[in-house]
Amino acid sequence: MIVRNLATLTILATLISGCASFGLGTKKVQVITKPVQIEIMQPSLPREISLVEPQWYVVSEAKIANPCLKNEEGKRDCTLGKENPDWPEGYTYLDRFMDDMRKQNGGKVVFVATTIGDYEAMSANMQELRRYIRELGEVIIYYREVTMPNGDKGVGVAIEKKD
Amino acid sequence: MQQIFLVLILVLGGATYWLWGERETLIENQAKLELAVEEQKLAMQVMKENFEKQGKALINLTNKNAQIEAEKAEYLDIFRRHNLNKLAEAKPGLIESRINKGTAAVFGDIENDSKELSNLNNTSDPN
Repeated sequence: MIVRNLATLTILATLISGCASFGLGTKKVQVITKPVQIEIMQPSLPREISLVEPQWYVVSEAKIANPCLKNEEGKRDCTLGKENPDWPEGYTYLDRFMDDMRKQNGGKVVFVATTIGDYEAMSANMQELRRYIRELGEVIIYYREVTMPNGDKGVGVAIEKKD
Repeated sequence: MQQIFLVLILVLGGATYWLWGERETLIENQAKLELAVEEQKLAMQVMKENFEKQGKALINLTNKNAQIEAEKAEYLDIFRRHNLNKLAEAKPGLIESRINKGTAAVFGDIENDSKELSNLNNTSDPN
């Protein structure tokens, strides 16, 4: 009888404890989550471009209009003379350009010339450079946008788990 | 007989105490794991939002680039539509003025483009 009761109680105790007593016991889980500040240093952007515009001369053998002077009534009167009296008859854009060059260079003719085709190429190149600058600018804006949420530094999440 | 029962009660009491401790630990662990799962969900949500934000920014970048390309093509089309050689031959004064104004405009545009970018230094929000 005693043995039977003892056996029953032992079996009951084992069943109640779910065999846990045979293990090493339950370990405490320790989970540590740390938000990690990702330090993305935003470099200061270069200062703006400052350009100096060149003066282009367009020259051909077309004659420059040299209108007559206006009288008191505001009408053109050729008896009063021309607006540019020093210009000879048939004075062309080329003549004026050459005179300007002589004035600028102490009586000598010196200038750098380009053709219409080359001017077009220069313009196209300028547009290509502008396109590149603008597209690079957009890429910079993209990176700033994705790395600076709400004007703060980028924040990521790293999870460290300890068992 | 009574002694055996006393021993058994003590053993069972000890086992119950130990099991109670295990139960507490398990409850604590469950709470911690639930919290960890919530944090993971939150982290996933943040990652998802960041991914969406990047996607939007990338679409925006692509659209802007297409716009820039179109603007460039529009400028270059001026030369295709006009015979500058003939125009310059016939009306050099007019073309000279147009060319100088055009150069000033393009240089001004480039300066403004770089100014916009340089001004980002002073703003925390790029938009």
